[in-house]
Amino acid sequence: MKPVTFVNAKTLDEAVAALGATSKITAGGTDLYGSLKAMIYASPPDKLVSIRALPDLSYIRVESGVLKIGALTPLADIYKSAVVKATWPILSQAAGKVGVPQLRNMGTIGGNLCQQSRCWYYRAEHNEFNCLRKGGLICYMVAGNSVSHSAIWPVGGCYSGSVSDTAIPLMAFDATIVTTKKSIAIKDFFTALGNSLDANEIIKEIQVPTPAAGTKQAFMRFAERKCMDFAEVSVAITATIASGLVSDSRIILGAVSPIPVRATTTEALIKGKALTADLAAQAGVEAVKSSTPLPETKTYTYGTPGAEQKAAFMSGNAYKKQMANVYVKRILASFV
Amino acid sequence: MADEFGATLKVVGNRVVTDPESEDIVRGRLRFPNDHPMAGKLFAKLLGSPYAHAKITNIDTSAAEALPGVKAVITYKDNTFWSSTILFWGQEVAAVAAVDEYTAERATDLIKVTYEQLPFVIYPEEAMQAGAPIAGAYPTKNLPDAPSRQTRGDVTQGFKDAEITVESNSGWARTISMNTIEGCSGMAWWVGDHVYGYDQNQAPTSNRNSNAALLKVAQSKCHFIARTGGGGFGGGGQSHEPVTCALLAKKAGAPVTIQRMRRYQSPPRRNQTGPKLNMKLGFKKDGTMTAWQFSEWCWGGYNAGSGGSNAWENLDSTFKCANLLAEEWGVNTNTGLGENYRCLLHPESAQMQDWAFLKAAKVLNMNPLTLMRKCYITEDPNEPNQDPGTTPVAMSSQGMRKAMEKAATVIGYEAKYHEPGAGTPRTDGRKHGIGIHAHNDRHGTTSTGRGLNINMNADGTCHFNTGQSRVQDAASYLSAIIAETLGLKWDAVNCGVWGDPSVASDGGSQAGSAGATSNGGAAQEAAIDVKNQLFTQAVTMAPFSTLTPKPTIADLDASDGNIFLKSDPTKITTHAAVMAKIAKPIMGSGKSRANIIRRPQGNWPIGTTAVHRTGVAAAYEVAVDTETGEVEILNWVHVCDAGRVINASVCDGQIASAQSHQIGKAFLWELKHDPQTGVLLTQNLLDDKLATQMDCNPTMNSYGTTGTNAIFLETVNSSGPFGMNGIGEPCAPSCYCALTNAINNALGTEIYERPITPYRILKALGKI
Amino acid sequence: MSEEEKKDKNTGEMSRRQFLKDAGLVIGGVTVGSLAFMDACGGGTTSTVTNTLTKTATSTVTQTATAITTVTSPPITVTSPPITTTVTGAAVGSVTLNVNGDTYIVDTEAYWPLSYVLRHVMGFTGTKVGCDRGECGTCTVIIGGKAVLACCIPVAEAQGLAITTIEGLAKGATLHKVQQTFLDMQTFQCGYCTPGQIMSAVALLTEIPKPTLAQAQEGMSGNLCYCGDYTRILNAVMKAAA
Repeated sequence: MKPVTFVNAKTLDEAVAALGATSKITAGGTDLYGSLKAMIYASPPDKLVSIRALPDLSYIRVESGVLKIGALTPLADIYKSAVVKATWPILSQAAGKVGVPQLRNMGTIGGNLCQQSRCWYYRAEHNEFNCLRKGGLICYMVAGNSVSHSAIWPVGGCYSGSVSDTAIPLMAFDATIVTTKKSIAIKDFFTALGNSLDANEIIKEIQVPTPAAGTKQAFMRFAERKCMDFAEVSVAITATIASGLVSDSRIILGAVSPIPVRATTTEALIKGKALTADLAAQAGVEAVKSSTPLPETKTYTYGTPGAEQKAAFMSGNAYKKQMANVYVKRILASFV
Repeated sequence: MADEFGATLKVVGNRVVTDPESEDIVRGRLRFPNDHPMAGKLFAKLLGSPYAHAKITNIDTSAAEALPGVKAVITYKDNTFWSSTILFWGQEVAAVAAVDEYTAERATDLIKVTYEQLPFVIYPEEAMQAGAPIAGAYPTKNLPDAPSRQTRGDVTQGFKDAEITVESNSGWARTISMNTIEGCSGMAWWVGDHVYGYDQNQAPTSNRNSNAALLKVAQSKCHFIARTGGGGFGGGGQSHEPVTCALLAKKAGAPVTIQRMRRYQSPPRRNQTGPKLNMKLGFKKDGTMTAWQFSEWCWGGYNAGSGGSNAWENLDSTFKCANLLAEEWGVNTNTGLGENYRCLLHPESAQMQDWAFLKAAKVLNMNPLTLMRKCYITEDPNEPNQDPGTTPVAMSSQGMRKAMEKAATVIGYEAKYHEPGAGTPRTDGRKHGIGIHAHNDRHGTTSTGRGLNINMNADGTCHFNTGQSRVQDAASYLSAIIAETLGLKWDAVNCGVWGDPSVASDGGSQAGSAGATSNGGAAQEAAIDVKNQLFTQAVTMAPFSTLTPKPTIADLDASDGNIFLKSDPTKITTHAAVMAKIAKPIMGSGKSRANIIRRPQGNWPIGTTAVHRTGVAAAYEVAVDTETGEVEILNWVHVCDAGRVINASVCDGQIASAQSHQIGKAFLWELKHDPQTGVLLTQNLLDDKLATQMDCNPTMNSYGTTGTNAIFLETVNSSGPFGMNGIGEPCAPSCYCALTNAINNALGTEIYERPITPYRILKALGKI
Repeated sequence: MSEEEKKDKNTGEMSRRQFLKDAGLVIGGVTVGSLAFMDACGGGTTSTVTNTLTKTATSTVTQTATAITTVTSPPITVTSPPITTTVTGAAVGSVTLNVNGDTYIVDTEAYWPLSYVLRHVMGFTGTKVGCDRGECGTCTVIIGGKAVLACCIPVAEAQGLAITTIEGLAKGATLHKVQQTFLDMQTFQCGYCTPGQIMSAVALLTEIPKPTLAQAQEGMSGNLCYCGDYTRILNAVMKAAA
């Protein structure tokens, strides 16, 4: 790691003033600091602005039916919060799936939303692959090993999967992110290669409206291990049922594109209809229909002579398409 | 001197000796090689090749040396174990010692290396094809001219005699890293022309010897101690960490320590080969096995040699078959070397064995357990080892059949078994599967060459010094064996030094699950040596010297710190009293001894050559989601013939460990490369997926409790000291195979690649 | 040199590194360096990588041999960082740490992780390092009653925090209940992950004194063990809670 200057900000204003092109924010220390130790950047920042100790940015409260979470609230607190569980249980579940207890104690919701890709090309140490996301020329996932960390929908040429677990239910709830400069709907927060924050802009608060009466919610997630791992597929759905018909829904897919995906055509498919097992199955198919998974390569065959099966050293990521399909289907079927 | 046959045991099996360093461990005071403080200590970091296959034509370290804080740089030019010929990504090129780790690492980026890239090959299937890029072990090909080969009988005739034949080819099991949480670490410093240091390896003396040669110092001037270290799961390979440190230390004039970063932890070391196999079995219609043949290709990295560790070893003594042919090839690729780690290759070959058996069972319309009963060795103690060879030899114990039946009974295999894919659907839609596995494992082999020495103290207590590194259970069984043999109380025996070849005799290579049997055998021999010396002195002293007839040492015995006449135990003295009279220091030394029958086993005469066998079995039940490919373990049992259990907690640990490793192998472990560049992508512990606490079954009721998951049988091994068996590796194939069998039983598939990820299951089911 | 001096010294003066710029904890200087590793698709090599999606799923396994090329790492400019040395114990440029109830003034680079400072500057080697990336839990310490990873805390940010390490659990000769339970049940194999496991267990049992098995498993989930002692670790935690 290269030496960096530290500013331990005592106020948000001090932090904002210290941020810049080569001066980056850090809070829980579970993302940027590690990436600097891994030396993944050609031009790393020379200053870290720590907001870890800023007072008054860690809170969970409800005001006028709006859940307000301070940006520095540890994920562990959100996971365990009775207030969150009562009305926004999938947000608690998602927060509880992040990493492991130590990481949830340190990691903040602001950091969880702003964290960088975990694509193994992006994260290869000493900048072994200076990829598109880092200002380089290409995305190495395309012709590379795409079994993990990869997208089935590219955005902006990038084929890595989004990494924030909390973003998925927050998108399903139409949350708002309040920064030192503006309020922005979470659906507009993420960009192909990062997010819409300015270099000197800091998230202050996340606001989550109470779901409409009659709204069901569920969250499903697949990761290779039962903890520690980032999701390879995640799905959050909120569906408001009125008079037995879906009046509104949000179907959000995570880890399958650089930006959380909102399955708008699937939402349209189920709108105004009664949910059935059949409709749920159709919705699953629709939700992934336009995806372009990365293919298997380095194939070979094995098995009983005369009845060989196909195999591949490079699995590709079609399994993500299948799993996302099934998760959408199962969640909607559970709402029946 | 006779073994303990007929003796009543006072310590072994009666008193668990806990690790005397336990308090240091739980206080964090146990020092690993990177933990030792020393004034002026420098920190080293490595530079590895960014290319999978290349030649270095120039290296310029001047910019690195000029970085403030850097005190020394070495390159491949400064030693003989690095090279300008690069054969895999991450191969060591240089090392920097600096005042702190982060400066050292920054300095590695300043080393200018000129590489001439060469064509590379990562995947073994490619490497085996004509025209493939040459990985470099051989000039014109990636496989040896001939495989290693084992034969018994006439396999061609055996297939002619067969009434049914089954054949299958597995896919590739992926190369994995068989690693430790502690990054490979070391330390070294010079005092004049003596070099001192710390290492972590499983063969302290031989590592010291070769490291001394590399440094061109006499062994008496090379004080490398390999006392502690991250888990030892096998042969461990030659550790050069202290040599790297010593070369830097010499240049810098200061002590140097290193702990490898994660990205460089597995490439050069600590990989385990993944094989693919062709298996062919021939049977009579009544289930008699007439022929057994397999070929194995081992994805062995850049110098795969002739294969692995003779994977057939564990299989050939599991069942009765007169005709056998086994061949192994190493397939060279530009990846890290596959080394011996925790039952190298045996799980995969045993899995293929099971596959073929399951196929045959289906063709023969038999429950697999019925076929296993037909073919597998029995409990008959007269049943000889099935090894190729003309003279039948005994197996040290016959616990496999018992283990198999126990596992089947505990999990209810026969009642729950169903045809593959034909289980009654669960209410949650997932498919149920059940699998069983048993085999007779060679590991735990008593090997000669391991040494141990004992010092008697004036007060009748003793220390032992051993050239093996400190492992948790060694204190337990070594102390118990010595106390029992010497006739001391359990707490009169203590460890002196571990892993210090300057003090202790060569403890051998701590591999092969043979600690209890081999190092324990050395301990027993050393204790016998001490006992002889004590008794020789005792017979010249009161109360024995005045007796008629004069007792010889054969007339004496010892226990509880007393030495007494067998025929009249009132004639008694103490070890301390004898030591008070002794003219010269009493020291005992012993070497581990050959496998022989030492206590009654069938009709085998005492003293007959034996081979070591540990019987194991496991059974697993799973539920598989056929839409997502996710697998849940519903139930499991593991049964191990442990010979004699010395420390139940430690035995539990081996099963817990086996479970964790085999769940990892079955579902998670895989070293992954970028196909375009050969760069290792699994550079950290996020992507190189060690099973976590939550991936393992939380409960394991075991020995001594009322539970049923981990069961230890005590059939009392006839060759190990006091009947002890080795169990570390035997437990590995059993969990892995039973689990894989269960998954294929659930689905009716033949998934024989690993890891078994949702991708593989979905693909086998035709879902993607 | 005496025999004693040849052996490992348990108390040695730790290597010091004094380095500061500006006031307080700020560390200055930038080392401009480039990388020895070439972008495989960047300059200097003729190997090509296609960046399209049109791979045939059933392509047979072949590989075109890459042309033999020579690759040289780019020229590198190095700027030495300014160093200001300080006298031992001086407040300026030092970090004040509260470890196991005692206050230390430590000369350290501000950007080093707490794990490194604990181990190699202060001599608290009980906290081990497994990955230095926050991916293994080996370096777990307790701050504010919570289990956290010392490798993820730059020491510059650790001032004012009450840090408990493995060395701080016992009260003199009396081990913490969790330590004693691990000892009694011999809950370790190589022993390397053990301090981190114990710290996580202490934090877990502080928050949930009588956890269910599922809670305990989740609470301990952040500590990897390559020896695979997980089930025994869980047994010990449940025993310590009982």
